[in-house]
Amino acid sequence: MSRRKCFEAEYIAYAGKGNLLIVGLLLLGSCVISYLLSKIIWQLAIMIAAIVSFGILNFMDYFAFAGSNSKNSLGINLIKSSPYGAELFRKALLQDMINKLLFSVITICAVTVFVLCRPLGREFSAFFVILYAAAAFATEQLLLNSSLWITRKKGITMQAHFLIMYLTFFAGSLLFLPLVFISEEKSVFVMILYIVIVGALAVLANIWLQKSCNKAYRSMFYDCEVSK
Amino acid sequence: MNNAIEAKNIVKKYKNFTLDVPEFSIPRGFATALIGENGAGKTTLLDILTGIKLDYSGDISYFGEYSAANIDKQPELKERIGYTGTENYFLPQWTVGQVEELYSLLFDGFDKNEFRNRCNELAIFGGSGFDGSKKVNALSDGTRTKLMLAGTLARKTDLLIMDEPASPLDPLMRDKLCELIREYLNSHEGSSVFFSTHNISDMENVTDYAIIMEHGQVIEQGFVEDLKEKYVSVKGEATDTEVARKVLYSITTSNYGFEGICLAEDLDKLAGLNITTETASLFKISVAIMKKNSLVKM
Repeated sequence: MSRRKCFEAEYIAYAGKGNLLIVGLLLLGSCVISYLLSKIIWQLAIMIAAIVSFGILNFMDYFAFAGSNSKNSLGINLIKSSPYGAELFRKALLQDMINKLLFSVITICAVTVFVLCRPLGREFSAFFVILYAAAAFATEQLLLNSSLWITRKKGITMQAHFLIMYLTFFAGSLLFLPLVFISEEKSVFVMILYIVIVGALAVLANIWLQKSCNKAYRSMFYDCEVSK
Repeated sequence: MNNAIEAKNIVKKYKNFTLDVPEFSIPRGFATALIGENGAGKTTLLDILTGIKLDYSGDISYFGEYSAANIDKQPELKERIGYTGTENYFLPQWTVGQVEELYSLLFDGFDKNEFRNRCNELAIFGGSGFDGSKKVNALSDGTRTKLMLAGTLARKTDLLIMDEPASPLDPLMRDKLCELIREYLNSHEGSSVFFSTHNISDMENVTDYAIIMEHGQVIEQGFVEDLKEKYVSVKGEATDTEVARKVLYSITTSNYGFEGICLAEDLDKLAGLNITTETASLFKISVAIMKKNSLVKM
């Protein structure tokens, strides 16, 4: 099946205009809210933008492949009976992972640009806030995808999915509280080192999750054991 | 005989049910009915033959040239098989236009013009023309089945596997379904149809070969003419009911007499009784055989 055909089929079968519209509205809403709040407390605006972005990411993740609702929709017999059904499914899973990673990178870049464009943006503390958001995000991605790797067979509910997401985000945020007691230069060094290490682990966890989901969903796709 | 499908030692286990079919075949160029009561294993068997369920043991060969091993890696085989199911076939939020688009992406031999012609022929949109914006969840069960049929018949296939195609259809549409099956069988040499049903009376006039299942096992199979020679319908007087009960597969009684099905070779056991025999319908034969093997207390 050609890549174009696969992308088209995946879009029609799984994504749909409705989901993209919701993602677009959430993104737009987060930008508007962040801008308005930045007039009052600009650091808070960055954090809200980051949190809403995480929400969008996991919303996409849930409706694409992680949640119990999608588990039912994935087993559509029309697609299963097609000679390209399994291939479509594998490529859609990979496309989902790429979409999430791209969206994450774009979000962090957008936040950075937004901060730097402000008159106060060139202060050192602004840079620290961006690092904080990136570190919390990397932690959340690592912990969330690791937990999904463990729970993906059970097809967790949307509520559980979001709960795990927020808990991992707050856990990541709390990790950096001790940094307030050391100098800014050392804090930045620690944060950058943390982002590099945890970010790399998060990417590996994402790849491992994709492979694991691939195997698990193939088993569900064809109603056979995971080991096959 | 050239068979569309030959299967040996098919076994699939569930927690409280086991499908166990040592041997069966679907003859090429004919319409084969898979008859069984609810829970007999018909859908499981059809899903295995279509390549939707892969977790089973056994050997299946298709058209004398393909093996079921790695069926999902043989696109040319799945292209030759058309499948319609009972549920979980379309996502409810899809529109008919999206269904058409997906068919064209998922199957190489799909013809969009033929699909639209079939949709109009089956009156999926009532009297109006093709409406691609109509959502699947706005269609009734029967209309959704018609949509499945339209999509499957718009492809170039050699074998149709249909799971309970008549169940959601009204009597007029069931008659139309029989017409479509005949048309498909006559469309090109070697085309075959295999459908499941729990009520063969609606599809009897289009059935050439029958396979009867009961709790996961094939208990009878054969060409309909052969089955009608093998089993006969017997009617007799009320006074002979108890004697007949020991011979007949199934028996229904009234104050006036009894009626039932028995093997033609067992007719001599009813010698001396005042009975009449006639050719039994496939419906009566299948009910009698299922009754004999059913767990349902009759």
